Amino acid sequence: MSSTEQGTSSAAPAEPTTAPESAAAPEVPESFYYVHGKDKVVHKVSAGALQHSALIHGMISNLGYTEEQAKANPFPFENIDGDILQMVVDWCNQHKGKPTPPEDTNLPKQKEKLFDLVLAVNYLEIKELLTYCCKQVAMMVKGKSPEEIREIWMIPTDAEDEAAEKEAKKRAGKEAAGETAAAAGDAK
Amino acid sequence: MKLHEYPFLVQSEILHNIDYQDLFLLSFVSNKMKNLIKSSQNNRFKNIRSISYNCYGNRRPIVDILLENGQKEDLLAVTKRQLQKFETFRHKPDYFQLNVFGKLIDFTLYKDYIYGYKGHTVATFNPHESASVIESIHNYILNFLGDSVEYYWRTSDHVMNIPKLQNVSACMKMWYILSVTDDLNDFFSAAPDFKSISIKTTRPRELVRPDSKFYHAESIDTFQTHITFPDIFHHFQGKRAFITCMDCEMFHLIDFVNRWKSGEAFQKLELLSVEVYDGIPQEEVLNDIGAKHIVASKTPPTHAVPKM
Repeated sequence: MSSTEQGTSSAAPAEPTTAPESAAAPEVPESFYYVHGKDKVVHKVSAGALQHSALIHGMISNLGYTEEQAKANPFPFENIDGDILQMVVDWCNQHKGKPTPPEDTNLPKQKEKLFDLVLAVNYLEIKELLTYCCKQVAMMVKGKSPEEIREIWMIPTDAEDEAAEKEAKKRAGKEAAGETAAAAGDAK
Repeated sequence: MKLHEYPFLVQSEILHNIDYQDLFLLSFVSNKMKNLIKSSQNNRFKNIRSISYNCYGNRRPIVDILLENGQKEDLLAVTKRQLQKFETFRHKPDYFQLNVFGKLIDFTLYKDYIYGYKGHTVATFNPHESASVIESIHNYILNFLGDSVEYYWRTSDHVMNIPKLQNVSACMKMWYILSVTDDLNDFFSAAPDFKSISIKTTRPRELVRPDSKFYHAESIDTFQTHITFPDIFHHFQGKRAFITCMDCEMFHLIDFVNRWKSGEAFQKLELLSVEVYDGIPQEEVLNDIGAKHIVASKTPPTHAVPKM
């Protein structure tokens, strides 16, 4: 379990509760960082757990924050829902310093949650979790007919694709015309 | 969940985790999806060694994929549609129709369908439609997986005619031929040229007429126990022959080799292997075919024959 606290949108987050220590305590004191999602709830996560995320790991390496600076400046992920970020943090904590198993059965079963999790994990560049998620998404269509697959993954029909393409072209044409008119106006 | 809203790399990773038979069905969802599969799974498709239409035991084909690492995956089965009255209460299949290369074909999904078939996708056809259904399915697969893959039609019987399909090599392995009733002449006259034929028979007469396409097979492996000198020595037009007999008149064999050496006949022949149960008098044969000696240390050439 990760530790979380109900944060606010203000710059200084409240003191988060500490995560339970793992059975084998590290010899060197571990450094912690703070992240929050759309809901501003701040999660305290160890650097070891965050190593799963190539994006956050890169940010940590580049910023070189001290513990105090990290606490004052949680990494904001405004594009990730709070409950999804919680899942990601939990997963990173559970798999901290451990080899990842070939399968993960604890992923959400609801389609929409899984969809959001995939987007978040892809954004945060957590390779192993992305692989699990993609496997789970792939399993959704096993043994299904094309129409059932269309429904599950909301895949547009050829006619819908064509209509969308036409619409996009029309929009692009209008935008181009608008830009030309604006440029002509500026010239005058 | 909208798959098309995922970035390409995520879509690609998801598709990578889908087995071939589900990818096959997924490709029918839309043209855009089919193109996405083809573009994102291009490298994966390069690991396909061959596609086989396996038609064993007088059944309609089960199509499988052999990968470069030796793994096999069933793609689909093609079979005659059951009459409604034979559909059991336990399993009343739901059919869905797909446009397969311009032909509407009824498909159904089974859990356990045919013995030896580990898939769930089954394409069905009504009587007299089998050839056109199989042709459409093959053309679709050819377009989907590409023509760099090897395609085989493998059979162990001579009941179902082998359709003439683009890029498909026919292979036959027939080890049970009834002595009197089985007539292979019509079968071979209607069949395309064979890549390989492996036949074992106890029939005391020749299998086919001298002008049969049987002799045009690229590779033939025969064991005709009751024939001392099979006709294959006279009529073979292919590249590789593996002949096993119980006994053999040596002058026939010597004559065969001399005609081959002189270029008078068997111009395409690259490899001949003859095994005679009663033995071959090596000195006599080597003298009469003009072979001076055999270098025991020299490794003979090897030839790749399609695995059956």
